[in-house]
Amino acid sequence: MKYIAIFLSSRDVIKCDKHCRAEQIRCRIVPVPEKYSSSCGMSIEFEGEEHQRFVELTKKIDLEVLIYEK
Amino acid sequence: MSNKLNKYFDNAATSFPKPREVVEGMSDYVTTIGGSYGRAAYDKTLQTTMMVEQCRDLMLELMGSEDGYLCWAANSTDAVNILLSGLRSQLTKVLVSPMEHNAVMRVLVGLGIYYDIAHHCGDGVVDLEWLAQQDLSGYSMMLVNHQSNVNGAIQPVARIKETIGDLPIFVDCSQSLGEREFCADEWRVDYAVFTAHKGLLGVTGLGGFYARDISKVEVTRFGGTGSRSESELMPEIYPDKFQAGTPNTVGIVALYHAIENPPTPMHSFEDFVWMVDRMRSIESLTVYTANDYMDSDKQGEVCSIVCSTNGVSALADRLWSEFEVATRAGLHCAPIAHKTLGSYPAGSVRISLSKYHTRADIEWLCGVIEQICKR
Repeated sequence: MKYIAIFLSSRDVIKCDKHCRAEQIRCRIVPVPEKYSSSCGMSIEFEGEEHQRFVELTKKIDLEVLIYEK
Repeated sequence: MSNKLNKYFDNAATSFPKPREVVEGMSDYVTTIGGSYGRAAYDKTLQTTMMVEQCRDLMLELMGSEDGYLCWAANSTDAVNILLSGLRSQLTKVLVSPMEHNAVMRVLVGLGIYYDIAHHCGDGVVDLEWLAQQDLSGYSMMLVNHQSNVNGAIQPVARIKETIGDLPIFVDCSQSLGEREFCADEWRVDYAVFTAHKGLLGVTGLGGFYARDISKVEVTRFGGTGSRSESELMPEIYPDKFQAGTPNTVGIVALYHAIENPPTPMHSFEDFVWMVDRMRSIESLTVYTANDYMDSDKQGEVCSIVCSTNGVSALADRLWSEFEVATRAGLHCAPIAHKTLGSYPAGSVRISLSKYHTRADIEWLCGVIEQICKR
C-alpha cells in the first residue's frame, strides 16, 4: 500500500522531502492526485511501512499535512 | 581584473562585477535545468523549487532570523510597495529616518501615509537622545534606511528599536545587506526589504521582504500559486500568499550562488578610510560621510563628494570622459537625504566601492579626483 501526503504549500513539500532524505524515509514527490485536490502542485508519495515514521517526522518538523491511502 | 584598473565606482546603483559562480550558476540553470516553481513534480521543477526554498532559507539565515518570513519581490521598491500596501490599514502616521530613499518616501506619499522626519546628529544618523524624548504614541511605525546610499552612514537599528520599544520598525537594507551585519531577531526588526543586485552581488530584477509576523500583512497581489487551484481566492498560507505568479527563478539562482560564494575583499575598510581622508585633504572638495566614518559599524563603503571648482554633473562627466571613471551625480533618488546633509538641490557625486576594488584602484581614483579638482 502507498500513501499520499498533501501539504499546504510547495515550500512545505520541499521541506518534508529534505527531512525524509535525511532520515532515509522512502518517498518521492508526485503531482497532487486530482481526487484529493485540483491543485497543480506537488505532493509526497510514500510506502505503507513508512507511515509511522512519516507521521512522526511531519509532527517533529511542525508541518500541517493530510495523508490519504493511494 | 588583477592587472587592469577597476574604474567602476557606482556599486551603490548596482554592483559590478559579480562572482564567477553567479554567472556560471545562471548559465547552468538556463541551459540545463530550467523548470518552474512548485507547479509540477518532474526533475526540472523539483530542482528549481528546491533552489528557491534553499535560497529563501539562506536569506533568512543571512538576515539573522530563525523563525521569520521571507518573500520575493522584483526589487526593494517593489517589496516596499507590497509591505506598505499590505499594512496600509494599520498605518496613519509614521516616523522616518532623515536619510530615506524615494523607494520609501514615494510609497508613503503615494499611499497617503503621513510622516515626520526624525532629528539627526548632523550626518543623517538618528539622534537617539532626541528620539528617547519623543511621545511616539501618534506613530504606527518607524522606517529606517539601514545604510545611506548617499553618505554611507549606518543607522544604529538595534538602539533605535530599543528606544522606540513596541513601535514596529521597518528597515530598508538595500545598501547594507551583503556588506554589513544584519540581525533581524537580535535587533527585533519587524519588517525589512532588500534587493539582490547591490551588496548581495546577485542580479537585477530580484528583491524581497522580511517580516517577523507576516499575519499582519494583507495580500494586495493576486494570481496563480500552484496551490489550492480550485479556489479563486488567494491561499492563506505562506509563502504562496505573497507569491502570485512565477517568481524570478533565474535571479534567485544567481542570489543563491552569490551568497554561497562571497568574494574575498580585495581591499580593507582601512583603505576606504584612507580614501576619505585623502579626498578630504583636497582643498576644493567636501566629502560626505557619517561622523564616525572610521568605524565600519557606522559607515558603509559609500561616500559623496562636492567640488567647489566643478559642478556636480561636470565632475561626474569629467571623471567619465577624461578617465573612464563611472560615478553617479545628482540626488541619488534620495532628496531628503540631501536636504539633511545640506547638499540639496544640486546633489553630489557618489563614490561607492565593491569588494573587487584594490588599494591601487582607490589610490588611482584619488589622484584623478585631485587632478580634476585643480581646474
